[in-house]
Amino acid sequence: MDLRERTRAKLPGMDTGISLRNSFCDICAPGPHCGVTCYVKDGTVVKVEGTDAHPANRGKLCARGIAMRDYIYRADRVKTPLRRTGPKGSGQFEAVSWEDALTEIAARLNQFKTESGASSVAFYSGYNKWYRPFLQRLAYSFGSVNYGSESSSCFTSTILSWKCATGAEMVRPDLGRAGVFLGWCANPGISGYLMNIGLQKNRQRGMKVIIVDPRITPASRDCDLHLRIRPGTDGALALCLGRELIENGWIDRDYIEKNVYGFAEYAAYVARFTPEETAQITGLNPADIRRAARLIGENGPLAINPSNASLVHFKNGMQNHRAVMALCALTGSYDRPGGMIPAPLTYAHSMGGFETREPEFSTERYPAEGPVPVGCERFPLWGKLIGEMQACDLHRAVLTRRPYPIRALYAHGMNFRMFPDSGRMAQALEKLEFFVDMDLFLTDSAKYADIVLPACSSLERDEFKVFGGGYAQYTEPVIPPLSQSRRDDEVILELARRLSVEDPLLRGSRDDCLWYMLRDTPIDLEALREHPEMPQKIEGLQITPVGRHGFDTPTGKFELYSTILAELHAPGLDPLPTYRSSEDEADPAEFPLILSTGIRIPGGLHSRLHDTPAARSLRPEPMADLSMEDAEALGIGPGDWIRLSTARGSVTVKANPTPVMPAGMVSLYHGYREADANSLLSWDHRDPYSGFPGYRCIRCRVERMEKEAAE
Amino acid sequence: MSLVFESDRCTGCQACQMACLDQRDIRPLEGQLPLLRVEPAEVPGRFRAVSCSQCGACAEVCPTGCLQKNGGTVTAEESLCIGCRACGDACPRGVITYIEETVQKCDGCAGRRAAGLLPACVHTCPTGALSWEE
Repeated sequence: MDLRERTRAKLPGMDTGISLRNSFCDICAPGPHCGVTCYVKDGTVVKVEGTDAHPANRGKLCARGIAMRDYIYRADRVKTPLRRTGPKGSGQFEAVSWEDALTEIAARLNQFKTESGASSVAFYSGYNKWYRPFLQRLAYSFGSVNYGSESSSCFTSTILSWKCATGAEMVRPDLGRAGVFLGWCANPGISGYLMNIGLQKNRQRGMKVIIVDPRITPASRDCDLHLRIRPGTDGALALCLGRELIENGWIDRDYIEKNVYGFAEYAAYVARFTPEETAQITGLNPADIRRAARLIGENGPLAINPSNASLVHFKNGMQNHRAVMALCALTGSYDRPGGMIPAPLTYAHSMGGFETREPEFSTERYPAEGPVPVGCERFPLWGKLIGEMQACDLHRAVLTRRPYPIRALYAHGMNFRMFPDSGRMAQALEKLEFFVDMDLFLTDSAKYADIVLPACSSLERDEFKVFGGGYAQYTEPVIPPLSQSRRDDEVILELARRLSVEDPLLRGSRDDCLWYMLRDTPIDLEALREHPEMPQKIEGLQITPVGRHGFDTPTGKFELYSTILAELHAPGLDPLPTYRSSEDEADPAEFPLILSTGIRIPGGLHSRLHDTPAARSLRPEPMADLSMEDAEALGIGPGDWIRLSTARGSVTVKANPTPVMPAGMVSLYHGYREADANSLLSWDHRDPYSGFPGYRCIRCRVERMEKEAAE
Repeated sequence: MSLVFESDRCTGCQACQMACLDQRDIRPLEGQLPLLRVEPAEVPGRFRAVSCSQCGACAEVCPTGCLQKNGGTVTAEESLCIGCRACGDACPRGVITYIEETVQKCDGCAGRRAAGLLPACVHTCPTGALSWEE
């Protein structure tokens, strides 16, 4: 092959000038991050692929990860620190130096602290999560109780559920040894593809698979039973399955006797959820519900999809999740091989299979004096078990000054379109007296900031990272930071110095902090730095064996009746995993359909890929998916303009009638500038346990529009 | 010699489509066509991949000999392309495109294969739905 052909094929070599450098993709959540190999020529990434020998992904990569090159070279990357010169939201800025930007930020934040107390400054982290331990410690060392993150609407609800039940933080399915997998909301072909590989493999060895999903998906096409449930009624189905397991004797009485608290109360409560009653609620067939119970009862051990977002994005989401996971208690599948295994969050929201002192590092400087964090009074279970600001309540503190005023916000990756009634969050950003946002891109949210700081991507930084199975890595930058962009943690540590916080550790180096967090582990950062290209298997880790995790609850048991919830005495919060409707109060006659704003698309990850051209090309326009039946009844064809309305507002989008959607349900992916799905939620359409918005069950109406009217 | 697609294994994740865009620097939002696209099939929840079958219809109409049957694949000698777009019109699957008026078509990543690597789309496919048959 001649050089021209080798160059065209992007082959690495001295002749082509292309070298291979490894890092990882951090576009999605830290749990399933994948190793990427970058083809680099003259300091520029020219191709990205999965790293063949990487323990997480073995060369594979999803569409989002391959879009990494387009993502880091987006035209709207912030190049220098910026100071706003025009009205908030206008996007008019002037370039300033890092020195000037950081000096101004430190002076202003300290000024608010002096005038109104440190907690009048909120600290916020959006996606991603790698620098969070540093930001959280900074907030507390500064003296503010108000540290919060986008995890106020993602995944933390499952932590609440498990903390009430067993005291665990995260619990993972042991697919390799499971007899039956309850794939509740599982569509891993599109979201979390690494699980899909495990699912396929274990199905081949005989593991039974039940999929609970209103839509037809690749997972539902390939399972033993597909339950097309009505959105948000998951809890009712789970309680009914519990009832059937009890009625038919498919429970582990010995396990329950020894390890479960509140079985009698639970059994009495679920008795009312007969298959016939439950079929009325869920839209399922009673015979299918009985079949599901039999599949679970006769094929243990039971593993369940963790469902970190999909199951809990409902008004009754946390309770629905508890009801589903209660099936582990009944079948004795918790902390048993083939069941659900507790797994600690090791570092920066990644599960490495071992524990570190990260929680201590993040929280030990929590202010001794200060108000209750924003949202913690309104959501007392969140307040008790999480204790961070519930960021979905941040707009209220800013706009109404209740429970007390928040005057300034220091954020990394703020995205107002994440929040329910997103326009209201934008108003809050506008009202803030001072708002700093660090981001890769000059997003619509960043345009409200007084100061914007340029962040670099995972390919442009060195970073400590853990991977499942006891792996750790200290990466090197694949390319230097673009323009004047910097690492988030570097900026946080620099700000700590300029704010003069009384915290010697935080005023030290990143590695000082890391050594502190890793001091009980055998991890040697220097040794890791010698092999930046690949995660290293850490020998000698203390890993709790399966069956020995115990129950970190007040009763020391798996609590079906939560003593934590009982002792809160909070109005409307039940100790049992009760079922309530997740619908809003809009008139069903006026708004006959159910909207979900959360169903994943292959080229989307919240809003961060909407302006990434390659990813956007997979679905160039926002489209509402609806059933063929509803489309026909409404006279709507593919590509027709429709108006999608809720009690809160409306957007105009193109229609995508598809046979995978059930009648009565509409899906519009979130985060689009031109059709912001989350602007259609009322701000108080929320789960009272977690504070999570009910993104996936909003009453709506669809009407066909003439093209002219739409445009 | 061509790309083999097993519908039963495909989840419609479109990683293959993206890998092809990245390998070949194709920009669909600027009017270029992907050389491989994944679409919903008639059966709900199933997908099909539309890509070059190496049928040779493009080579037959090429006036300059730029496109030629070369073993089992049809390859492009880009220096001979005059940008007439006859091949794109002749392609029954719509998987030929142009970058700066020069033809781009799937040759199964011939250069990568010659170096012992898999085509970009096959390499990334998480489910094994795609393979390259010599």
